[in-house]
Amino acid sequence: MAYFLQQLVNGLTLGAVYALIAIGYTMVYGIVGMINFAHGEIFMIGAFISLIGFLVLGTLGVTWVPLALLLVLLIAMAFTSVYGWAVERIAYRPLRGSFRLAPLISAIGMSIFLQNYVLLVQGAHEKTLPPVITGGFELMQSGGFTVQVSWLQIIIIGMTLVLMAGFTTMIKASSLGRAQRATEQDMTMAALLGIDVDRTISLTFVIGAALAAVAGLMVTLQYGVIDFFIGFLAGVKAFTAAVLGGIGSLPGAVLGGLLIGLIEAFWSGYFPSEYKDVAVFAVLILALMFRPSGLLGRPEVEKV
Amino acid sequence: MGWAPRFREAALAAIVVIALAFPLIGFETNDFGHGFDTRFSWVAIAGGAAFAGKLLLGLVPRRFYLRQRAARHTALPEGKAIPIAAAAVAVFAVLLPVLPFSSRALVDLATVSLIYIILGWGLNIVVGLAGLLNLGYAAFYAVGAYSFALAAQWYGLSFWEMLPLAGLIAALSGILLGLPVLRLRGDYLAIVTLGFGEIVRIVLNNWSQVTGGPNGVNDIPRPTFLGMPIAARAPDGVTTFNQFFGMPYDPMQRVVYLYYVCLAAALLINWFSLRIRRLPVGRAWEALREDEIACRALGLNPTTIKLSAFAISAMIGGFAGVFFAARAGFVSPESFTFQESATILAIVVLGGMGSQLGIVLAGVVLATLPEFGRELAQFRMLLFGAAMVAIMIWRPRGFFTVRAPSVRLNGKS
Amino acid sequence: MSQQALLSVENLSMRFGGVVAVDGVSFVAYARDITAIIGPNGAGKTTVFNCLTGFYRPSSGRLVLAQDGKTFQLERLQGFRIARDAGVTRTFQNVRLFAGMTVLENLVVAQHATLTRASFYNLGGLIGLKSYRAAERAAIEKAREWLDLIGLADRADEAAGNLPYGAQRRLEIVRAMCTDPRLLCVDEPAAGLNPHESAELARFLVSIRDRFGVAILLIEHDMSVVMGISDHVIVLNYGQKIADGPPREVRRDPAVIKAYLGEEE
Repeated sequence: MAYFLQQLVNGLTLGAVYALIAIGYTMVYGIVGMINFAHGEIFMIGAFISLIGFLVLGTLGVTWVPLALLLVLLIAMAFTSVYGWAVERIAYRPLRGSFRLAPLISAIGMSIFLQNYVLLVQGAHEKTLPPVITGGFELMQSGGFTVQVSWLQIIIIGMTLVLMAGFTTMIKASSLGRAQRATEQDMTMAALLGIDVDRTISLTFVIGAALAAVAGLMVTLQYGVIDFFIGFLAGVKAFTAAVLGGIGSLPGAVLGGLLIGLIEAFWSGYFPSEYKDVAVFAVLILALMFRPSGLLGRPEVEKV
Repeated sequence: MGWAPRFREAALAAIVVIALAFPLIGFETNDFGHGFDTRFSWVAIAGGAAFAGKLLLGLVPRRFYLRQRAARHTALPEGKAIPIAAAAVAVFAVLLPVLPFSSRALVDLATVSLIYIILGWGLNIVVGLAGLLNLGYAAFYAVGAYSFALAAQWYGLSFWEMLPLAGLIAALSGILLGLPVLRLRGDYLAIVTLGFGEIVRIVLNNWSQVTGGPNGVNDIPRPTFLGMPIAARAPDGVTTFNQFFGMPYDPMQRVVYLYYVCLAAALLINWFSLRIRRLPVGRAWEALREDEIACRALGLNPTTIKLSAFAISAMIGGFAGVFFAARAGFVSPESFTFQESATILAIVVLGGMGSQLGIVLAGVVLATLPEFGRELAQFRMLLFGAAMVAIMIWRPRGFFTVRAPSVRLNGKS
Repeated sequence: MSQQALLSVENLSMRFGGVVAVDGVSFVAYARDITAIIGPNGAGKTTVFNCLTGFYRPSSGRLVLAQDGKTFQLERLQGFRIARDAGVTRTFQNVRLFAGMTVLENLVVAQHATLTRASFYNLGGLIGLKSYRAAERAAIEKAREWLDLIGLADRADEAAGNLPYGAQRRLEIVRAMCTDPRLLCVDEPAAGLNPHESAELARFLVSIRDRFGVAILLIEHDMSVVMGISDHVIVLNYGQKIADGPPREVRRDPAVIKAYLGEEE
């Protein structure tokens, strides 16, 4: 029982990270109908910038944890957003209206480019960070097993929920949100009605990148070690989460993220963990085969 | 456009590049310890380059880099140029080993190129012709290679015995992949194929009892010449090629032989690829790429069309896997990563989806680039990624842009 | 005008969630007839078409196609089989040609079933079997005849997507005809054409019917086309059939007039 609870806590933490990345995928897919294949690398870049941020702040003498955390959060979100903006501007905007596969191939090329760019400028070796947020508490004990919950895990899960609530409200209430929904429904019409479609799309990418940066920061704090390759796997799994939850739906992305995190944690806990990724991929394939619209999405009727 | 807006745009470009470069180029983390170095000069250079570049780009007349918009659907007449070029390449390839500058390393490199070219042609069937984006093509490559390796290890089967079998097994795995993705649209299909590729790699890496895990399988036999191995010595009762022809053994012979085997296969596959475009299934692939709904309305069965595309392209990938295993003498999972699938996709995209000759060029370039120095090898994938983006923007149909029709009413057929 | 029933639509209904797009529609289309389905926008015409041609699975009702002793239940057939086995092909409101392939190739693809059989599922074709080459030549010849009919023979090797709009429409109809259908369903063929082009198209449809004996089912808004060439008109409104008969009767039907023009204030 205690072991189960521990996996639950771990799974939710992991799931929160996937959820943050998944939101980016789902927002972009909803508005421009394409998978931002490079989004995983944006997350990786966010992680690197966070790590570098901590190192630099440490050298500058900023050691009070809450301040450092806040500064790194802002720095990471800011710079990663520029990357997100640049990717859309360079690789996707020129291809709006092009043939079906063009944006996807361009996205793959961008993903390869970004991965190798970080590999070249930072080196292939993994990078480490000494623990920043430590400590936690014991939730319960059972059968000689103690369920430990760290402050960091609480922060990660809490932050995700806060951000999700914030963004859902923003989508519903703000003008940007309205512009996004209009552009999602009918881009041409939205443009004719005076909505700056380009800016709306750019902002969507920027927001997605910022959230991915938060996820990157979380991962850096949680695991303390990153390398240039973490974007690939995290990206595919987060995309699986977005699909599972219902592509285009923000709550769906979070739900899907948490589910994937739980699946991965429970699999690792009870089955050979080398195959945990296979489990996630299997979920992806099954979801797309049997319920492509996901748990919270609306089924699409074929337009003839 | 006046100079003030030009400078503003260039300044904006410079600012963006500096923002991008500052965190990741400006600071370089050390591999050991928690330190870092600063490289702000590089950031400044990047910014300056962006400024200058944007300024210069604004001076180039638009038509030089305008997108290939006008010719969205081109089916221009096929000139004489391509068949002549193709023939020239084929002749050069046949003569390669006997040319004066030839060497064992060069022939081996040519073999590697051929394997990539075969992979490119194979992937082209499913991506270029049928329009189904397969991001896990390395899986079929792996299936072919491992089928051969394991069959040789457990059952003592030879190269020639396994070549058709491995192709068949790969084709079956292609159908296996095709079944779940039948109803999926472009993007989703791509991701699922990626997942499939990863599943295959993870299984190969972890199922150690069967696949040897990360260490892979060794001692893979080389192809024999009419049953005779090309070797210095052979097991009792078996005549070697060298004994039969009275030639002293030279490792070069094995390399050249494998090269010609691959070349023959490549020419055969090329003939097959060209031929199949004229057959109902080939035309159906292209029609499916153009409009699946119209296909259904005309009575074409999308299921069989898609499965045949997956199966045949997988089979070709399987053949390439056998050649790869024979050349290297061993196989391991790290040769069949997503990186590999992406590389093969890059060959198809850069070479021009649908162009046989384009893929030859791209395959050769890709295979030979690492030879031009270590630094260039590291840049290789970076350049390829950038090139893929650039091609999609400027020449979506590749460098060899036009599509030759499979049949003509007027003029030569 | 033959009175042999080709297609019987019996109590067809189509529901999408809570919306009833087609509500218990029944009608008969006769062999060798040109039958038109008309009605105001949103009446359910395209939904009926999509049910007939396998793009929607009807919520209820039967679609029976019968000719030469063979019967097909269209509501039970898988999408592509409706075209391949039952011989019901269609054109689309937004022309769906294989734009990147040539005009000729579009017509050859349409003859896929015949060519596949002749090539022994492609294997014969691969080894250069004579019978396949002959079949391919025959297919090209058939395509040429059709192209001559619509005046596109000299543009046969151009990309279909580069043709002017009117030519694309004609090509799409001809491509459907290359499958030797029993029933040709044409979805708003005159959309986007000027009166002169519409009249030509109308004549073209009649000539196809006369030469090849195919039955034509037509959705159309252009009344000159509908009244000019139809043998039989079915009027839908809000998913229900409100009139069914020869053009001159339907034209005077008060229910039809009300549907199109609204009540007199």
